[in-house]
Amino acid sequence: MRKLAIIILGWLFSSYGLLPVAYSLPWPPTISVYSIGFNYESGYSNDALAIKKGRGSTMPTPEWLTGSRNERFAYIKSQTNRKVRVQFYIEPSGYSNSNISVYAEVSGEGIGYINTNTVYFQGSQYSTPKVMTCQGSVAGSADIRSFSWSWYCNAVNGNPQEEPLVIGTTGDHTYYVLLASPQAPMSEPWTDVLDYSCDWASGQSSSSGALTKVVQHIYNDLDLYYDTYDGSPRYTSNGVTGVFHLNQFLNEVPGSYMVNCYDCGKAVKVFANAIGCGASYQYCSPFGYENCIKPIGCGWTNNPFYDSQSYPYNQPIVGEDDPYRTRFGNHAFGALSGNIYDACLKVDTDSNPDYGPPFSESWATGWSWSTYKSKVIDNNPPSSPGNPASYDFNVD
Amino acid sequence: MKKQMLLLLGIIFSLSFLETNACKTALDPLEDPPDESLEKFKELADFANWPGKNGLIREGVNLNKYSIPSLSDASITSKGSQFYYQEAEDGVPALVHHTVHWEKIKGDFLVVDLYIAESCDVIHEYAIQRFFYSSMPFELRVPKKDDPPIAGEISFSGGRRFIRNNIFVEISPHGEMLNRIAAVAKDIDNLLLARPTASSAEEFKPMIQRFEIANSLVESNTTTKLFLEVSDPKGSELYYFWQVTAGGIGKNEYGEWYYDSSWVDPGTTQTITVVVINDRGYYRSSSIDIKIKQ
Repeated sequence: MRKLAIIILGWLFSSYGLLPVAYSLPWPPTISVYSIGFNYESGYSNDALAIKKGRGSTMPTPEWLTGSRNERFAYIKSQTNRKVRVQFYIEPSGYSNSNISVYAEVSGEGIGYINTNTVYFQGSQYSTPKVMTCQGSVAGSADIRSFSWSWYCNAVNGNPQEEPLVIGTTGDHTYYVLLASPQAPMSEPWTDVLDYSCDWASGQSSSSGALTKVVQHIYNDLDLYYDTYDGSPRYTSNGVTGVFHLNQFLNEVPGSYMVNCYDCGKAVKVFANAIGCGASYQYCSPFGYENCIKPIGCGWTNNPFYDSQSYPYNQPIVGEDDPYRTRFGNHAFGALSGNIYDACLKVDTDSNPDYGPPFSESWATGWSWSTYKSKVIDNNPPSSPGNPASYDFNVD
Repeated sequence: MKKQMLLLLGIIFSLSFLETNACKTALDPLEDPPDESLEKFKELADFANWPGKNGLIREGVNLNKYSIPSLSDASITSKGSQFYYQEAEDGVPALVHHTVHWEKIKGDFLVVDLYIAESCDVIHEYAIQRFFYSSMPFELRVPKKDDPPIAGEISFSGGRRFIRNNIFVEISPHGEMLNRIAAVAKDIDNLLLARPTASSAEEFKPMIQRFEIANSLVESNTTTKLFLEVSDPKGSELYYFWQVTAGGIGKNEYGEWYYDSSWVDPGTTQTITVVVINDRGYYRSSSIDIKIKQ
């Protein structure tokens, strides 16, 4: 009788598909990571910051989508236990009401490993997105970093696996490390800007250190030349609140273009504030006669508009106290906490700074206004510079 | 004795006169601040008498499509030919900016920037502001008019800058290219002179036949297809500039534009603007408002 019952049950199960799941589904299930969202909620107390791909273009989320998308994301230095939102896919469809336990090991310069989390499939082969906490911290200095995660499953429907099932690897995930929350005009920084800023400021943990690097790289790396003809700006209409044409700037650099101090000063603020330096842009009018300076892309001069002058003022170096030489009518630069960061020039700081050779080359960075003007502005002929004032501007 | 006194006084007077004049050339902190306004600048530049303020408008030119004889030994660099839409600013309406960069060898380069407005008086205003906003001292910024003009209806500094109808041309040379300014200015002016003129910009502008969104009530954190149909009266190459008050614009793998409402606050109204530019320097824009679902 018992034998008969077993036979009947066996026939029913096999004929009508009523076999128990454990016997009918292939083992093991095939699990893959479907998506990872790094900036999955507003704000950044748990997750990544909001960044943009460029002008008028948001960063698609989730940032990582299997086979089709791998976008960058950004964190602030030393943040810990960042959260990500992960979605899995499971095959065959018979597992669509299952749960799995997953974890991830990290390789590279990551934001941490992920402890075991239980993920649910609720009537779908796509799991309900699961917010997972990374065990680790973001680097302590500005940088661009990459890592990958190796994902494993150590239980299916609560049944632990002796050997974890290998899900696969995701990455390389590349992220920017900023110093602080980014500020205007880059409060939602563009990736094209962060590519420069994070590289330039790599390893810097202070705003002043990062700003110095930003200044040095703008001056050295972008192949820009000071307009020694008439000091016209290229990327902005004026020295105060004029829009900075960032999209055009990014299209053109590095490339041989002529700029003035408004361009350099506004670029300093844009690239520094993208990583949270808190820099300002300052404009000073009137300015005065220069000691020997080395404008961006040019040689030494104490007569900065020599290209538009006739003999004898068509020479970069003229008589050190000559009142007929050209001078800056106004000047602009980046600043941080009252100290100046000028990407437009280097200055001669030897004992005879208004003439040369010889020249003793110094960056004009981290100087107070009184130090800056004593080093950059010649004492004879006398000048009466105004006081630098901060101006905000937008980018397009 | 009286004669000697007079002579001495005369010497003292002339010395003090010389000193006063010498000081005027340097920056004297005791002097009253001079009038350095845009109005004063216009007066010094004789702006009111610049010719052509009410003239016809002219079609622009895509310099990348033509050979410039004076630059035949230089080449346009890979990033060197672009069109930009420059939004209205400081009382100057929006413009189209076309820039081309030639390089012969490293350090010997020349950039030509064409600014194309929809009327001549607008481009005149733009040009005077370009001269006005510079790092030079006020008195040195006043443009030096060429007489006769090297190119255009009016040119400055040996052809370095000139205006032809509604088009302002700037030539920025470096290195060996400094010797070519006049020749380049004439070549570019010849190209411009070959373009048609009109009394209004309308016939030069591209057309936007359709600009709509698939659903004007959009869910937050979704993408929604945009329908954009454009054409150009002369079949010119078209460039697109997008402005959004929040969210973003993207293009999918099928070449279709979409609006991305990621992180846009629910319950808000947002505006999407498209600016379509043709490579003859004219643009047309269109905007739509969308609501983000609560």
